[in-house]
Amino acid sequence: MSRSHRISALVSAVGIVISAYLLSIRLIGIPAICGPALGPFGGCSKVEASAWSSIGPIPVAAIGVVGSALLLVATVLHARTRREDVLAVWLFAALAGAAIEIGLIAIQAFLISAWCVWCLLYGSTVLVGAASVIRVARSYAREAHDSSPLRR
Amino acid sequence: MELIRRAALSGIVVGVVGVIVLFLANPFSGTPTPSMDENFTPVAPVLIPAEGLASGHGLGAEDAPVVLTVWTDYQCPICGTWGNGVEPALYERYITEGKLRVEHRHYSFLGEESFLAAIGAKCAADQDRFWAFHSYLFANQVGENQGAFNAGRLRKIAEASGQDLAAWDTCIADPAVRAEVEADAEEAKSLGITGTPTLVIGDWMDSGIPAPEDLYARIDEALGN
Repeated sequence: MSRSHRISALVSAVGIVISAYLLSIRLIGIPAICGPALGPFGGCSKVEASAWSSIGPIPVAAIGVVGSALLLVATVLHARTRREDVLAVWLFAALAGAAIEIGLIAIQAFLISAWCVWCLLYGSTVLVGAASVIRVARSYAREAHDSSPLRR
Repeated sequence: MELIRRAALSGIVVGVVGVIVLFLANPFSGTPTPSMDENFTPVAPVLIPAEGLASGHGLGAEDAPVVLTVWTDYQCPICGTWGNGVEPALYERYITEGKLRVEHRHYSFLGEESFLAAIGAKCAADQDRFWAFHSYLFANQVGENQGAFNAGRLRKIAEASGQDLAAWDTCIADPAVRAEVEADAEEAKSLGITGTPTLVIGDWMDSGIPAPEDLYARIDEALGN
């Protein structure tokens, strides 16, 4: 398993834990570890109470659990098999997730005007995971180019 | 390599579309956001019970065959979903038919505003106008401990829900009422309740909001259907 695979697996696992925690706050109503003690990043309840915390009946945190689980599975599978189709699925999921995360961070900044520390930590795991898969894809592209018959 | 290029491009496109869907979905959420300024006008709740269907801390006929006890904190967002969405559905499906009574219990744990809201609700119950106040609270939730249920806004909610304000003001100042709310929270803990909403029908107890069909099946089973 390369360094990029290890980083992606680690941040995906952390992402699952954070999004599952956020989902349980929403579904079960357990108290969130947040609030004024966390300074400018303690706006979790404001973010959670906002209309942006779900798409219709689906909590965004639930999408986070599924997305991070998919990234973890794709990472481990690619580390073991090095198959191109697995890399394609991994890259697709990571870049889609990164684009959505950038949108969600912008929503916190410009529409809700509050920062949720857990949402930001989760966003960091997705962005770091996306950087890892891009690194793997570039390495794969270099190897494919070097082994091309035209280069031999 | 073509597959990788297409996957990268598709991922970015799907991500951007996802953000656009998130933006477009929310204007249609249908939940008005209560104002936080000083000219606060409470948002009216979906559920205003018909005359005679609400009494004490309960909604529904007092001799209804099934009693669903619900423990909530007025600041908990998912309790808001319960109060604004599930209770109106149960009202239409079972309560108006005389099949179900929902008994509300206070488990205030999210902060001072949870206690203030619950004290206000107990004082509304003294005037036999509990459910109107309770529904107004859930319709006017905004975050936690950010002033949504401060004294001034709660008084406006009391006024909007038809309370006798002079009697309500006297009642909320009574330390005994706060002691009752604190005793309710202690009782919840002693029952092993760790989150809200917690639902109880007979021997069955569960936290969170079940899928509608599961909740209806549970009620139907208790009804003997």
